[in-house]
Amino acid sequence: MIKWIAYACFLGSFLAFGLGTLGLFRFPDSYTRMHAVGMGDTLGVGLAVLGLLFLSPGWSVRIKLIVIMLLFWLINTTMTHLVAKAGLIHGVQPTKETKLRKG
Amino acid sequence: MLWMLAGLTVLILVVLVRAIIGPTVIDRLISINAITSKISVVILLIAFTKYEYGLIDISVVYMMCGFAGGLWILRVLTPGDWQLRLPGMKGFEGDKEEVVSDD
Repeated sequence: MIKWIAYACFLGSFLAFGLGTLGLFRFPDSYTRMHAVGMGDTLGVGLAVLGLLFLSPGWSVRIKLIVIMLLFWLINTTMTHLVAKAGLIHGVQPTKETKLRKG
Repeated sequence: MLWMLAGLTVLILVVLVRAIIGPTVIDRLISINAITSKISVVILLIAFTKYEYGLIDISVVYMMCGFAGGLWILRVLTPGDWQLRLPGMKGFEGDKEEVVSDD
């Protein structure tokens, strides 16, 4: 029973990764692609670790997995923010339809 | 869990296509980030299929090394200050010389 709950979590994780990868190819802009990949990877890693928590044998492994999940949520959001800021500094233009606020 | 390993491998190859044909540097950076997160999940799944739970630490170290490498690439990409300049603001077009200046 526990095994099938874990497999359902893995299926959701794979769907999140796949939709992030689909957004990487369907969106028109660098920043929107960045948004899609960040969302998909965050949800995918969270669901994969949630599925592995059901299969883990002891509490040492579970604590390590929770630490991995929190660390990934910290690292991925920081990296996406820094890449977007570096793109704006470097001069990567968004699409023509984008409306930017001045100031 | 073997189907998810195979699916993640296929997704890594698909993301690698975007890393090759990406028009800007930012697309390549976010593709590398996506590949790093997927490989971390692959290492976690291998640790649970082979019943060797020491591989979880290797996943943490891989994630941190990807973060440090991305930060180094961003440091090379944007020399000088990290002040944000939006397109449309004053002084955005005149800063093309600062981008190629030596660090």
